[in-house]
Amino acid sequence: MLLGLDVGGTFTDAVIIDGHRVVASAKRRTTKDNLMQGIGEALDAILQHCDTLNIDQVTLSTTVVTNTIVEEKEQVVDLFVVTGPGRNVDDIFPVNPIYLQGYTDHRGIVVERTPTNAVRHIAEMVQSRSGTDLAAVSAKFGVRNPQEELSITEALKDRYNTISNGSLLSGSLNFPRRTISAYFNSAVTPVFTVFKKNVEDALSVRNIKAPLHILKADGGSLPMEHMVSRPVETAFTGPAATVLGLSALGAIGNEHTVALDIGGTTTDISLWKQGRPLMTKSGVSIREYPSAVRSFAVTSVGVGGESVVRIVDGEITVGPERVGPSVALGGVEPTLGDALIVLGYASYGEVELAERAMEVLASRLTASEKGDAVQTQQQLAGSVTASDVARLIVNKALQTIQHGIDEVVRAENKRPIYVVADIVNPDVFVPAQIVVVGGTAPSLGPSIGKYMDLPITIPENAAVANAIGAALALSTIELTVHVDTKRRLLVIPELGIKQQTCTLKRVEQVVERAKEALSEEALRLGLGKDQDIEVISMEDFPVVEGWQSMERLITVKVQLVAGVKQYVE
Amino acid sequence: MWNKGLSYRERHGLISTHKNVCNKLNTDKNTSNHSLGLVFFPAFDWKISETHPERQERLLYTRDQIVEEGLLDIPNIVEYNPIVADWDTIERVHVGAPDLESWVTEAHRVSAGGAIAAADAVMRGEVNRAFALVRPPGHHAMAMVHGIRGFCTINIEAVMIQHMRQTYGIKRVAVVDTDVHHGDGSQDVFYHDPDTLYISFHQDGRTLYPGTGFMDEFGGPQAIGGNIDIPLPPGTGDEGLMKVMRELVLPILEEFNPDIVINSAGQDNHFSDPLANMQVTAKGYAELVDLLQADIAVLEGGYSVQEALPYVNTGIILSMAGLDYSKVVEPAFDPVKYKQSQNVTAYIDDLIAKWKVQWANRHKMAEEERTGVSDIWSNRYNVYYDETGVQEERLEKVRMYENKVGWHSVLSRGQYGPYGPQSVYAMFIPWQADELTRQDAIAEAKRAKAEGGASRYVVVDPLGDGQYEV
Repeated sequence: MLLGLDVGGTFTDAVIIDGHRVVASAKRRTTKDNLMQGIGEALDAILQHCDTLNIDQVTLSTTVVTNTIVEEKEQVVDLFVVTGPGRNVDDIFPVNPIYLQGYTDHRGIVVERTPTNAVRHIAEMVQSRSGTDLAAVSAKFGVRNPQEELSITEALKDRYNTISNGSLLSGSLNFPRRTISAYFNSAVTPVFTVFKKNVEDALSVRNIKAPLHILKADGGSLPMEHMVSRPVETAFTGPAATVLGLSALGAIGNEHTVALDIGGTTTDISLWKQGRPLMTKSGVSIREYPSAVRSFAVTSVGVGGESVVRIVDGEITVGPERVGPSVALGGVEPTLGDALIVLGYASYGEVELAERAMEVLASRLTASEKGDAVQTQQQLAGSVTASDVARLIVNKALQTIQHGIDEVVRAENKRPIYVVADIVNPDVFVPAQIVVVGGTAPSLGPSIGKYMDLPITIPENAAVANAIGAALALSTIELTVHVDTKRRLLVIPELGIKQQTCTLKRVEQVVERAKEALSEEALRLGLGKDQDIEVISMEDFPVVEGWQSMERLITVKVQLVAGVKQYVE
Repeated sequence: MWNKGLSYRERHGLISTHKNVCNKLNTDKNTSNHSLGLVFFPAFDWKISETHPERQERLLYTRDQIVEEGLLDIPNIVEYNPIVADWDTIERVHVGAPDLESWVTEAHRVSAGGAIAAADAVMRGEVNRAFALVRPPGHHAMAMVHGIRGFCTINIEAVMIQHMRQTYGIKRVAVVDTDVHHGDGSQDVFYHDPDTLYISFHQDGRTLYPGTGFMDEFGGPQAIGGNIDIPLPPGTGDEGLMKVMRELVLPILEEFNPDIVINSAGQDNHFSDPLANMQVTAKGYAELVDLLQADIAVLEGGYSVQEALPYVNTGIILSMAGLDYSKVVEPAFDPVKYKQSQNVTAYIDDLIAKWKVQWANRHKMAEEERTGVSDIWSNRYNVYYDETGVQEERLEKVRMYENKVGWHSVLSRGQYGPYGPQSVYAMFIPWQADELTRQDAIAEAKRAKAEGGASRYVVVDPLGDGQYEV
């Protein structure tokens, strides 16, 4: 049996899955000030009828890192960078970086060494001011040769408890993004470490001995133990859990699909091609800082079941704020939910209260329009009814959602392309169906289908989709292998490997080597052996030097196939 | 600055100027309100041949550098994909022998489409300026195409300018070619057009391909002063380049008063380029671009793919985006080794002085060119296609009017190419043509056909019916 736990912004959900069935589920309020309370309550609720010894794995998706970042409660970090020549990076990081001498070029050649003695000396001065025991080290082209980053880290080791390296966190080119990943990784390590301890205690108190995994933003899970060195990857896992939940519920076919998760405040939009969700191009943004943390591409628009409805300059607006619950549930300001109740699409709370709220809006709308010189026939006839207003509100919401979808699709179709073949035969995303989950899915979903003229699916069991997604997440790790045949150089930045005696010559050999390295790493992390490996990108360039020699530059990225272990009914 | 720091749409009153007029170079700036459209298209699946300089690898290290620098994440840099240029647009510039389809591949159309996408971004006002970092290049491609010349098949700037003329109605265009090689193709396309100023500085043709580009190539008989070739001595460095920019190029631009300025941004003046002998640095290129303030830049040559291109392109992108480029220094740069010699400096000073005299005399020279010439001016010359070994012979004629731009025609015979001997007659109607000029041109093409001697007779009418056979 698999236990899934999703600590969301509003609710903490827990499920137990046995084979293809959800055998227990619970939803409790998230207790923001002390997450462990809500987690404990949700656990207790599902464990009532379950033998904890039968649990094979616990997987957790949590907002603990996200909240730390959003609320800017991260710790002080000394950020060391080796930039060499190029762009001025003075103001692009969350803190002023400490510049170290040295430069590695695009081929991974160390043009100028970073003197480690000087590093020690500089660190002493820096730390005497900051007083922190957290550091981050990032070097331009560290992914082409991690040597300098590693030797700087070695020099700082005695001084700092935690040191994050850009190239260990990501094997992809983009120095500023890796640097931002490394900075936040160190900055959230303390809070993550405390949280880990608390969760482990909570599980052990309940006699759960199964391995504990935690979900990452890219939709994979990894052992908690391993994630202590990469906590930044556990930020923004909410959308990942939803996306996995959608997969597990079997809701997405092979067509180009737009998936909507309509919650109380926002609608999250994701796109799916051939049954797989699209990832962000180079990583998720942490606050306003673009990072190298891989994640699903999820875009939020400010429309949800409890979006506030107002009249501004004689026009109805829906969202983007949520003020409180719907009037039907005792709220003060009318919401999209109230409109859905009046139209008979939703049935909760007190219908009369919702209707009254709509009537008030109707009279205010009439009053404000009477002030205008031009009057429509409807106003001349004297009245806008409550259901007229409700329809206006729903339409407004649909408009906003459609606009959001259009933007996301447009952005997807503008992704940069670097080969002739793909420009001549473009792979254009054209939505063929919409899948809707989330609390507001049943009431608003059908209208979206009609509005956008697309078939719509609203899977059942969608209420705890996130926890299901967490429970069933496969493990993911990604590795990059870069080979320069001329220099006989092999680099695997994520593992800090740099080999100077590489004899691989062809791309097929490099793919094999990459798969081996990934299997070994999976084994080291104690992951199952049965997970498939896929090649996610492959570059193989002939290199000509001195007009003659034909050498190659080969870069291969492999990963454990992401997704869910099994489907649930 | 010729543009007072304003974008095309601001200068032409299409949008209001919402920022302070700036007349300074970028200094240590890390934020900018100049937006830059970037069309980055390295054509990773296209090559001329395995070891040819125009191969897949050419922009690989540039890609590595600009991605590693995070340039594509800078908010005021917007990335655009190229489009595939229409055959129709290409045919409004080029005539092929035996035909264009025999030479023009999809890669060429995408490269020209990259330049068009950059132009569209600027003309629609989505960005202030744009840089088409694309390949294959185009500035050695002439209007008549018998094959590949100097790595070029179609002239991507010319196709882009044609697109801008037909879509946005622009009139006065200046092309400033900063490639180390003389852009003889661009010169050929624009030579008879007094409203398209072509300025090229390059390593002296006596020492480098294609062997042309001297001071006396000053424009066709009805466009004297419309073609400026500045042949620089080998060993010219940043110092010489800046001097030429400040003392010749910028004042000439100012007087020409263009609607729009295009930079053919070749990067082979770099000290590490394997095909040339100049000493310009990445920062020098960035400063040049900053001085020039082109609305659109289009990559041309540059084959020091590892030591120059990554840094030069980073410098140009930062410069065009209004950001600090002072920290862009190549690892291989040595300020002592690459200092411009005194001989070179003296030579350049002398050249600038001569050029100032010629520029001042351009109206007089134009008058002299007209006197004693009948309605028709003609010229015979040869063109060589290095890549395909084609020898082409041309008879060029120009219709001279008193006060408007007339047609020019080319009777072209090529031999030794893969398609055997070819003969094509092409009548080029100027884009400024009125109906009378057009009718004159068509009548002349028909007369030429009646006379015979070519296997194909085509008319190119850029703002009329496009390309058609008579």
